[in-house]
Amino acid sequence: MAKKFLLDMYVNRCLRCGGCVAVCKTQNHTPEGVNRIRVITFDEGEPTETNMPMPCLHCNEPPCMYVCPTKAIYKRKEDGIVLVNKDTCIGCGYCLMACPFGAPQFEKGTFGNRGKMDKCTFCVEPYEQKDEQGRLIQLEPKPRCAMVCSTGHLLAGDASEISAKLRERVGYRMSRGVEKTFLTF
Amino acid sequence: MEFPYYVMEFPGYQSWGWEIALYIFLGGVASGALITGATALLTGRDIKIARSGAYLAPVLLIIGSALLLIDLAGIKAMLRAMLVPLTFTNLTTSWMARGAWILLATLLVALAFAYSLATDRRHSRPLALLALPLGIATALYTGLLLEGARFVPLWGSGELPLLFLTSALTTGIAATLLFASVKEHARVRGFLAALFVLLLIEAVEVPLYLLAMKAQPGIAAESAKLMLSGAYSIAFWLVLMVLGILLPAVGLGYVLITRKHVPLPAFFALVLLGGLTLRFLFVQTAMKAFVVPII
Repeated sequence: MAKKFLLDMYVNRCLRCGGCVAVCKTQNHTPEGVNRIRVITFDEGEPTETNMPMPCLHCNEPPCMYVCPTKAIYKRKEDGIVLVNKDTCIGCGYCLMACPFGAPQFEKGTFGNRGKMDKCTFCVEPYEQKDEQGRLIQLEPKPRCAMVCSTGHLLAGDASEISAKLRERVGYRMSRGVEKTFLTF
Repeated sequence: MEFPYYVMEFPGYQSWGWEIALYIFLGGVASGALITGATALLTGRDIKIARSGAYLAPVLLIIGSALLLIDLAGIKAMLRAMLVPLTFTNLTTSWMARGAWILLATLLVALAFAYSLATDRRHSRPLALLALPLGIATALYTGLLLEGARFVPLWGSGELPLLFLTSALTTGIAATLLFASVKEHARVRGFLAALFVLLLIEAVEVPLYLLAMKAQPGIAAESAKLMLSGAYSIAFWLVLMVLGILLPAVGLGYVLITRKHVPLPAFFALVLLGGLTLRFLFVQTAMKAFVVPII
């Protein structure tokens, strides 16, 4: 089952409340300057203003994985989550150039510049932990950011489930001829 | 499928800094010097020029590699990149991994070439034959490294490696002749003519590249406008185009036609300045495309 984030971009739902950013920080204890999820605002102060939470979208074909020289970035076979192995990451910054969403974040390095890469882990432990039967342990039912999202803009989970949910929402809107409103389910 | 592009600041986005820009310049000069030295030896022109190119290349490559290592995460990452041979394993898709091996091979061949020229010159000809393709590969790779970083539209053109190869050759010839400090122009006439032609090619190539970028929608045009008319226009037009390319080209043309003695080292230094400015501008003005994930 491929785990994915999905952004409901059909409706301008995100209020920029900052809940996802705050809960990500407290959950993952990321160092200063590292935000695994950010809220980005387009056209600020204009009628077309749009907010958008930006975690790592765990692409099907991650450009960061392709450009990584040391194979530190990998996509887990079981659930498609893109993770980084900090033991082999050398902090070259090539993944930051490659990612179109700005997901790779960098800690402070030794020389005060870029350190090792840190990214959204879909709230699972970066190193695979297995129980006695050899099954993968997932610590959280789903990422905290999506759990606390107050307007349901950020969806997270199995790709089939969340896309069905989004399709349901869009179908509801289209059946009423509604284009741009705030709707909650 | 077309993605809408937005010009915006990435939170937490740090571009590559001066280390990488300087490395790309030094790698270009080193590969150009290696090619010049090997050519001088193979055509039997001048052992002094061959030695100059052969000595410059490994020194510059070592300085460039040190800059690359400084840009990494820390001491541990540096040691890992230097000492663990299987660090750069992603050869199938990553240009940085391929480039690391190309750089290592070029450095070893350049060191062997310099050593053979410094001693008895017994194996220098086969080493020169080996150095030629490796020098071209290193020069092309510096461009491919930037091109391989996806979603930086300014770099995303197949012309960029060729542009960097041209610049590598001009700066390499200039650095080699500057280091060799040749007084008589007649002895280096072939190299001066090559430098003149390459500078003319570069004078056309660089503006054409930026105009092609300006014609594209989105971020690529924004980056090109920064150089053509924006904040970096003085560095681009005055330092790169006029001082770095056109003035040396005119000066070399004058020397080639009239055979008069003009202080050539000044022109060589200007060519080097132009190459350095080119690399810094291309790293500095590169903005990232932000792709809005509309499903």
